[in-house]
Amino acid sequence: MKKSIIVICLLLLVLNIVSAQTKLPGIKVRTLDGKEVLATEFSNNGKPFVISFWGTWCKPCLQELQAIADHYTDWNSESGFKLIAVSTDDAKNSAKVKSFTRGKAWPFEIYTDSNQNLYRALNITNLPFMLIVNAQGEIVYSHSGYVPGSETEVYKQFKEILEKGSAQ
Amino acid sequence: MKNLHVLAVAVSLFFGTKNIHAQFLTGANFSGSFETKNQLFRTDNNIGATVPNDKIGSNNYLKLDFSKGIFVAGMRYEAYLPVIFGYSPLYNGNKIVNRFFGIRKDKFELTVGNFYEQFGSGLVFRAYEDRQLGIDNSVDGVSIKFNIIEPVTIKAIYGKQRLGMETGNGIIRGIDAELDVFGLLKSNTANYLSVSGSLVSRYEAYTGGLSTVPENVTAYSARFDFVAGNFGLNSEYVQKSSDPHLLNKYSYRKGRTLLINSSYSLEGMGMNVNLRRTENMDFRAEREAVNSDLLINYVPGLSKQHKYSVLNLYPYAVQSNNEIGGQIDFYATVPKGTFLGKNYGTLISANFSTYYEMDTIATTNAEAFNSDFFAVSKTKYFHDFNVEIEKKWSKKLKTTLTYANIYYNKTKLEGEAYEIVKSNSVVADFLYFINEKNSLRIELSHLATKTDYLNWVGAMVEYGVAPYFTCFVSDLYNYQGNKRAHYYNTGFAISKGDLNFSLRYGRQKKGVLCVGGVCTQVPAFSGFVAGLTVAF
Repeated sequence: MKKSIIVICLLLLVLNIVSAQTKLPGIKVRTLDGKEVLATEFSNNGKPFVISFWGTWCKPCLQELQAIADHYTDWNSESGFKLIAVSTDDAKNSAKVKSFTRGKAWPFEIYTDSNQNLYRALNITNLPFMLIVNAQGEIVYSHSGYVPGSETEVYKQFKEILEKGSAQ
Repeated sequence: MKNLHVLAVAVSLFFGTKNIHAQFLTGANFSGSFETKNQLFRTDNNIGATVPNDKIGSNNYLKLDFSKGIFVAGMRYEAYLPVIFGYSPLYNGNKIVNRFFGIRKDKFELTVGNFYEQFGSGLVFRAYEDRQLGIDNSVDGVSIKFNIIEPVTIKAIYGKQRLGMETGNGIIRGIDAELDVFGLLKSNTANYLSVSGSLVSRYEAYTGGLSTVPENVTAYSARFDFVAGNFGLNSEYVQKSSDPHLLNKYSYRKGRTLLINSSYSLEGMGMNVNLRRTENMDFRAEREAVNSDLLINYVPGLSKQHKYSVLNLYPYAVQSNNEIGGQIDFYATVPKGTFLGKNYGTLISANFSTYYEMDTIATTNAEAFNSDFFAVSKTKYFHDFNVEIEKKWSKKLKTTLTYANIYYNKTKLEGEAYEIVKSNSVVADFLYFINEKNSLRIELSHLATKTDYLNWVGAMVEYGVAPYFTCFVSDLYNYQGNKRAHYYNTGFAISKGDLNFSLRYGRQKKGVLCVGGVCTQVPAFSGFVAGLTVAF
């Protein structure tokens, strides 16, 4: 017990000195064609982008992604909005992800994180989990859970981050 | 008391060092998460919910990660004060149960301490965590991943698996090599082909009187993954040496599993077929391990993971020691502008899965049975045929209609004598936007069956204020027979940024909870559940 408290306190000390996680970690995910890609290589031509962690079995995840898919063409042409959807499905459902997402005609860039390595490295504990990465590659916004309608908040945040970036 | 002193010193150091810039920490990243789940039990004779000695259960997890350049390190502290009812009693007390140090470079990764890893689809080896089910089989040891030449990825692991707050007795070691064939040929094709192999062995000392019990058990696997445009095919074959243990009734028969997945998809249409035959593939770090303890491999139940509670009353639990079957999925979007698609398009998905016992012939030798590889018996474990139609009618209204026909062999799947449960269910789900931020979701469901708990009817109303708040009231009621009970629940959730808080009051039915096809028995529960998660 004492040892545990010492370790936690030392780590809190470190927390005081260093910054919080601001960049994507160098962890590999796979494309729908099986190829490995580093999360650090995610990009949107110098613009911010949104990453959504989801699962084929997670109802609010599907509600959220479908709601964004319905707006995607408009948002993309208006501001260059881009969403990367990282499936956390393990071997139970990972073989379905390609046909599932193509069947729904989702316009997103999709990756699979089937043993949840990226999910764990980003300290995510609930799905859906959404984050926005700015043009400098820094994680500047994150949100967990989905309430119908909150996709407009994500788009609002995206536009604010985009404007902040172009003002600099 | 001493603990408090240490805490006080550390807290004063924490605030006292606000302006110190330690050189070696410049550019370092620090992150973490905290989760707490608490239950307050109450006795509820109607559903058979009892109160344990301590009326409160509390599971707590604090995870801290550190990285600087190529170096990573982390730890997780867990406190079960005491553990929530239904979780393994091996989770008790409080302790740092996970700590690691590692190097992460583009072509070389090393982890010393606790790690999670998976070979292929996990049929020979998967170390993972699922907090909801109370599974954490992380390995405490060494993990290395590297590319000698670009298209070849090699992973090697060595260590002992976590069991509750300690590690199990068995030692596991494994190696996996994956070759990207077109990458090796430097072909510019957009297609993908990988060929891979794994070897995992387990050692557990045997001190009993039988000279035939193997201390070393080895599993081999060969697999390929091929993608050509819209078409995909992958397969894995696994063989495991003789591994007599408690859950296979000490059968000396070798384990064999064959998995075949294929898919075909176009924009707006997708389908896939999964076939699997699995025999004696329960692979654990100890011979006497039970429940979800010390699982070395991962054999998921390949069936639809339903989203509605009425459809999860009879979930499929994989039978990794004796099962043959498969599933087909179909997904399609009816484009907007067509008769069925109307203004917003219509999404249709259908799934059929069916699983049988293998056809075996009992033998008198130590193998216990014999079987032809593809022989199927007449004993069906499970089938599930389901269709879902999702339709957006206007900016304000969206509906989802689901039908499922489920066959559930309760005797085989739960191990006690019951009648077969054959059920037909429908779920209607309406999402209505009152305005841009306020929404109302109504779920109405019915399950019809002539056995077990007989018919069920369910309703739920959920009110949401985007993007932070939801609250709900629900009830599930088996309205026939003498086991009638209302399984009512009400609660709310608030989420702001990385912070989530939820509170629920109600009843949970005794039954099977499955996530990812791995299932656990959950006891009847009545009372409050409060949870908080935060990431930083």
